[in-house]
Amino acid sequence: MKHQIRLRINGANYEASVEPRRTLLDLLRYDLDLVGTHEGCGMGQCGSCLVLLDGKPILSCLTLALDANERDLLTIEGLAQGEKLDPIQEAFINTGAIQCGFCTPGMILAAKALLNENPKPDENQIRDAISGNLCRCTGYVKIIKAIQSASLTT
Amino acid sequence: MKNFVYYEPRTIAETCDLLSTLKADAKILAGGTALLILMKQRMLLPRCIINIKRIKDLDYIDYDENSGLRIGALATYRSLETSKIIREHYPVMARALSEVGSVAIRHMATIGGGLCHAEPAEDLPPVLMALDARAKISSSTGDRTLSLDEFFLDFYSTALMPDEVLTEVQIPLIREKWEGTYLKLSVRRALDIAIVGVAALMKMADSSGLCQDAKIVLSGVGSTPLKIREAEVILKDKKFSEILAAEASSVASMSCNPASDIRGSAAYKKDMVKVLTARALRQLGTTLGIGKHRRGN
Repeated sequence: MKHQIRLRINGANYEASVEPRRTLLDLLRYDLDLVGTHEGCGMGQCGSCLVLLDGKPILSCLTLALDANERDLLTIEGLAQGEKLDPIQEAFINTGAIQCGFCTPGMILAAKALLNENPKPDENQIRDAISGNLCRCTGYVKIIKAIQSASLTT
Repeated sequence: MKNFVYYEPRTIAETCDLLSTLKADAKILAGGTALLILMKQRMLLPRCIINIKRIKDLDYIDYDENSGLRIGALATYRSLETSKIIREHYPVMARALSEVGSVAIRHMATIGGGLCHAEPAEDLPPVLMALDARAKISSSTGDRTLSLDEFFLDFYSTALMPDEVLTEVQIPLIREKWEGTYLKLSVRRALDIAIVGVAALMKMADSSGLCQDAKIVLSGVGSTPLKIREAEVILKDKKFSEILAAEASSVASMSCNPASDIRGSAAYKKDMVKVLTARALRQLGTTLGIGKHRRGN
């Protein structure tokens, strides 16, 4: 049996009809074509599915789509304002913190959540904030530098 | 995931009504960080899911300076970790919570869910046991509270009946001067449960270093969090010293019977219990300013 849901994603209103077992991740990727949010492990161990739900970082692979009913979501697609990139996105590019890009949306949103709560984090706080986001390419050094750089510009 | 019937009650009463009808056909969904993994792996195939997250009056952290702490079952690990009340009055909880999963997981996981999942290698339950926490359980026939000793029965098994839901966690006031800590041994610093974890607490009778009461609770070495009374009594009503701490840690190691598994051999885990317990107690001693042998005395 399908349930109707309404939610706000990146400032726009969406409606969907979902089975209870539909995860938020699958809703985003398969029903709404918002493929910037990625599936790495499907069990909360990699962070590539991270989105901001009512401003809080959560893992969409372990969230039912029904749980997002009447809620406010920010995905990676919602960060840039048209052509104007978010300072965190700029910093990732300028610092060279992106290789394959698979972890990047989750990393950037984790950083966004951190800087919203703590605009001037120290290195330990940055490491803690991204400790749930795995990267197989970069070794994290540039990612941390990028977030430090972004925290200086915001 | 296999499909299921989905309910979204708005009150505790509605939840209890659903549970008294559906009983074991239904599982409660709170944060989902444990349940959804089990369902995706098809280790659990509940016919019905009761999502309690829309119940408004289950997310609270209330402190009373005469009776202690009352925490609503839906309080998230992150809200507890960052709560001024917790950091001021029960900082050992924040210490343990910071070891759990990741920031995102802690925004989802709830204190009620963590207790009901009853994974014996979790970080918060041993600390809650050391704090003598009680679980308040509700059904359509009324409420009851259990100590966590009574609540945890076995791996992933609690005293919760199929028609009951955990609604509150109560932590009594500690009137003595006290300190607590939680040390976790794990392969990774995040996204990992404990190989071995030690929650240690000491309540002091006075400023001379006389310990009124000690609590030592281990995670990862049994089918539930394990309270080691034999080690606690070594410290209780004695003047704290590093020698006593060493003795208590040896006894803690000998008193547990961990299984050999992918996280380590039984012998290794027992060794690590000794190391972590001693380290935790020494840390408490240092924080309390007691137990150090002073030169020339």
